[in-house]
Amino acid sequence: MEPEPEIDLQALDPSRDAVAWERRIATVASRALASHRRRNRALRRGAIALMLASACGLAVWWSAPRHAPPRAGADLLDWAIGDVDASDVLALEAGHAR
Amino acid sequence: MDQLPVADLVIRAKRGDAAAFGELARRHLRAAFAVALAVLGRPADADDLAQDAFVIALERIADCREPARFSGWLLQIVRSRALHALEKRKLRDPSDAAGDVVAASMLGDVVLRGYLLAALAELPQAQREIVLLHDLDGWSHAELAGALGLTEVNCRQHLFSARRALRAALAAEEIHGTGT
Repeated sequence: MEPEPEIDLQALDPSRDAVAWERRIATVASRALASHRRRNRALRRGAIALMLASACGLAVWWSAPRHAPPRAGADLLDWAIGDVDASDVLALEAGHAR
Repeated sequence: MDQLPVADLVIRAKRGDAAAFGELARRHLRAAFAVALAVLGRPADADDLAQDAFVIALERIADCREPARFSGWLLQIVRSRALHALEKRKLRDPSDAAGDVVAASMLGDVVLRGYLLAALAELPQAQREIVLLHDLDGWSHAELAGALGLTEVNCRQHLFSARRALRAALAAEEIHGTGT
């Protein structure tokens, strides 16, 4: 395969106007740098906010009263919100009545 | 700074080194433009998109896990943004075509540019990217293969086909596209 000679694409070259090209490079670099710093700042603040929120969450959980241990047996509330057989509740109520 | 390998520049840029940002832009902005032009077909659109994509890429430079392969990573960002922009442009104007930039009133250099763009628009996208990166930005076959995920032999074949098709299209318009 004979190598095809190069195509002259200079007409499409955006760097032909050297001054404008240098200006464009400087603009892109400064925009990118500003954007990079903004992003890093946001990420840092986000990380701090997350740590604070986690610490607050832990503090609240730590200071909250512990739940009482679940009672044995079933009552009307268990039957209403849970999967407790009605006959168990009736039996319990009967026991109370006696 | 201009002697440093790209990997070192990327590491410096990750630390927020302003000079490294400038040098990365100097070395890669034209390649970003070439890929955007290969997709969009319009120099003005390609110029805007290349700049925006470059800013976004450098903003997220921390995500570039392999600094030595920065150019491939950057061109992937440019390509995907350009394809997205092309989709949006087609939705806005379904009759729009990438190579419809040749206006009857163009003169001199602008005419040549129009013919080149029209001839490029006839090539497959991969060939457009390869011929623009090689003949416009001076990339080697090894660099092309690394950045585009192809073999060097593939790159040579694409470049050969692209040049032949371009030369035929330009010859039909009696434009001399041969360079050196």
